[in-house]
Amino acid sequence: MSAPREPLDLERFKALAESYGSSINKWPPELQASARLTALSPDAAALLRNEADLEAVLDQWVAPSPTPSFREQLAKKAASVARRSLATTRYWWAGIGLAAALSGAAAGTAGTALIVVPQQVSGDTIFGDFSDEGDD
Amino acid sequence: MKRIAQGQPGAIRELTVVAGSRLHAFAARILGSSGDAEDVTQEAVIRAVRHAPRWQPGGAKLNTWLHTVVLNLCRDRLRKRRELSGVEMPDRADSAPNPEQALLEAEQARLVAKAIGALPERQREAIMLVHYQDLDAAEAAHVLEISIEALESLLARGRRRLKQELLAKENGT
Repeated sequence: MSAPREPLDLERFKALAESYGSSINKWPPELQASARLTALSPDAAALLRNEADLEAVLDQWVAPSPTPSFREQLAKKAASVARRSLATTRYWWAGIGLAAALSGAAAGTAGTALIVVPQQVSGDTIFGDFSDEGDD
Repeated sequence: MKRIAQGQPGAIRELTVVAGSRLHAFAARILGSSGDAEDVTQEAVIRAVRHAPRWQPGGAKLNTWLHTVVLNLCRDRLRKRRELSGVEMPDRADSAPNPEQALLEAEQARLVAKAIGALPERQREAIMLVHYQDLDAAEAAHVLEISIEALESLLARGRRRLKQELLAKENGT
């Protein structure tokens, strides 16, 4: 966070307080430092107190808790999904590795074939030459 | 997320502890049902675990991402409820008798839930994210897929209405 150059004007401070509430930490980050300077003034502090009054009332609405076993069940389910996901990832990587090995083997075979075939052609040719000679 | 993708038990437990409290509370407030909130929370956690291997570190924060998933799941459920009921009903079933409402023992808590439930959907979501879920401006705007300016406007209108509803009543006016 950069150092504030100057405080926000009170009107802008009021608008932000009425939107985001009394906790400046929730305000847009680029305005927080300037807002903290403004908050030192009594008028700005009073605005924050007004918002805090609303928040104190809102906090009286407490959300119901999940059932006691929920977190335990959730942890088990998440761990199970993670294990399956990890196994699937490993399976895929193994598959990719196998595919790469097979393609490498195929490429090697093809390469060997390309080398061998000319030798055979050459041998046949030589053999043919001898045959031709014998026939004559 | 990297540790979750690696299947590290500590990371998964950490995720489920956070989800089991904060995300559940978020969904419960929106849906007005702890049971439905458990279903939604579980679905969000499972999606996070499945998504973990493809997680991009430069993208949204995990907390923001989870809130987005939970909010979308809650919206789907509320939409289905409306379709089943065949009428346009308040998103929060604040007038319907249900066990979750019974948990709101204090009269003031009921009033708060009712006042928030009566807000337009987007204002309510904005207030849930910023006030109850402690998301900052950038995170909440990201979850709602709106600009910071639009978020500010939603929050201001929502809070103004809540002040009229709740602080005026509290002051006996």
